[in-house]
Amino acid sequence: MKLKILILSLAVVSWISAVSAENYSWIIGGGPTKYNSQVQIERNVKWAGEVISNRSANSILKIFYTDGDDPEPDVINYKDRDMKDRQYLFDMIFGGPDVFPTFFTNHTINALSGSTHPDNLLPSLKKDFAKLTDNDTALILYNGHGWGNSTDYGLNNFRLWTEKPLTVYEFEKLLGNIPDSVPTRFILTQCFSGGFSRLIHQGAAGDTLELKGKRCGFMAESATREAEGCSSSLTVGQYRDYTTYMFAALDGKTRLGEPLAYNPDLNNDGKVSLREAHLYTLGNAYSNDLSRSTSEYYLEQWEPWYLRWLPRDKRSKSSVFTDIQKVIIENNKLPGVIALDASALRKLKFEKQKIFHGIKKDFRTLKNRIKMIQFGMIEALQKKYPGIKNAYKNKFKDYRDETTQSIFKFLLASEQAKKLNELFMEKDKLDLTLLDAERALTQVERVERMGKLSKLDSLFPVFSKQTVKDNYQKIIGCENTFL
Amino acid sequence: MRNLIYFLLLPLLFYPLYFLAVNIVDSIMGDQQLINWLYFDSKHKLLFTFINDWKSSLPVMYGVYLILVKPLHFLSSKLFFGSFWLEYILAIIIVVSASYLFGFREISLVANGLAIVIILFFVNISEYIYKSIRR
Repeated sequence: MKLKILILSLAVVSWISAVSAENYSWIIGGGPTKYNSQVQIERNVKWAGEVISNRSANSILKIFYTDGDDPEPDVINYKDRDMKDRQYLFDMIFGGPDVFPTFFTNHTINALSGSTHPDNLLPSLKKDFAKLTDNDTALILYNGHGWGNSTDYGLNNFRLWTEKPLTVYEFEKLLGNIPDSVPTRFILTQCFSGGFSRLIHQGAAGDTLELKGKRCGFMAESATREAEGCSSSLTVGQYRDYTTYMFAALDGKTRLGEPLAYNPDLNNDGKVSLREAHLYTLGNAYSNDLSRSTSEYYLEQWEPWYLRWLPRDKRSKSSVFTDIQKVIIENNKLPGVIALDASALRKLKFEKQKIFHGIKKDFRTLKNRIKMIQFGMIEALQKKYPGIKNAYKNKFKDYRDETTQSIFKFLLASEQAKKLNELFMEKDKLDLTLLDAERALTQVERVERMGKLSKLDSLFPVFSKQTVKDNYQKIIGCENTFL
Repeated sequence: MRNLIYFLLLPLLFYPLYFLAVNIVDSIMGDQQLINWLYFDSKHKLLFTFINDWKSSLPVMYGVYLILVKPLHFLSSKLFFGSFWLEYILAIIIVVSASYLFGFREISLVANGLAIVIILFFVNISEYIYKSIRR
């Protein structure tokens, strides 16, 4: 009888623990200041939150965003250039060549868990992480900005609210509060996010193949490059970051409700795993991002000296990265020969680089022309209204409104201001062209990267030790989990 | 002392030779990784990678030296000069067989084979000079 009761109790306990398994998700979003917290980030955070809530069973979602519940404006919005806008006209003349008409709003994200300021974020996460149990899963999405460090990628960081940095080392320490048995996934979209690949190792060490817990992640960029989110796409429109593609694949449709290019469910199990969504992103993202996952990072870390300079062999043709390479070539209408002929690939890369640098040069020239006109106009205004430059900085507080208005009318009618506005419009167009050239160059770089990964992917099973193979499978297992 | 320096220093040069050989093959028939790196990537990073790989390769290079090359040192000059080409043929057979067993069937085999042949050539020449001087 006692034995029966014991078995029954054990069964009940295991059932309860299975039932109580939760999928915890945390979104950390927004820029470090209101001047760098773009509305596009806010939109992506909202959308990602919706996708997680809809797609993840038993999901518990927490969102941390910029200044939390503070009603002060914390999001920068962009609007069309309009000379009749008094503030913009003054900005156009006094604000330098990169000025863009903006306005600030407070974010509209509901059910916030507070600010991303470390004083709020770190204790909250620490507390949440410590509560996790064996059957839970953890997903951390960072949708904001980051800095890099060229000498130690472990010092690459998240730029939290009020420009407080959170380095890879510090974040790894924080993740240490999660039990090793809990699959811990991270999706990071900021510049230099590749440095965070090291989170899979104890102490974020950069020189080991040992793993810490069940951790895996997806990063928008390498440890040394800026992500699309730092490009001019923010001001000139057409913003698309890693989340745009990754979450579209996870949701089965784009943010605007459009269908996907193809079904990302590679193993046809009816569900799209994080890894499948990432692979879809690698093939389909037309952006500046050279995205990567922790399993790819692990392959690159493993690459031994005797394979580094070896060419690809036949077996690389069966690699998933070769398939993605084909997709990139097809999507971008690139010549198929670049997948096989290194000289052709290099030639194409040179061509794309030349186009990109040519436009960049034109862009610099245009900016200099803008600067020259601005300088000339300021000089002329200074003669007529001494101290106007400082007055602009003080928002014309010392000027009577009629005076400011008469200056505005004078400027609005001036030919130079019209010319300046035309140049700014031209600059916006050129900015878009530059962005497109950079994206086109990135596609070629992505083809090159897929070639390298296909080589590593195909040689790994042949040359790696069993312990390393097991580690790799552990990362792949983690990446193959769902929202 | 002279012998010790000779034995210790010689394998240090094997990796640069291997690097050279493999990259010759990769540049002619493969992905031209070194050329691409020199054009598009950081030279500083290349040097760092080269030094790290050189350090990692040392145990293997000393092993290769002890197994394949060192016995030559104990051969008499007559035998050494007599077996000069035979040794090449043997080395290539070993490389081809080992590469096949490890799963290489294509271009990487050529790269590895050439690397070993270049290393052996270098070692033999140095051994040749060494023995000629001692004669």
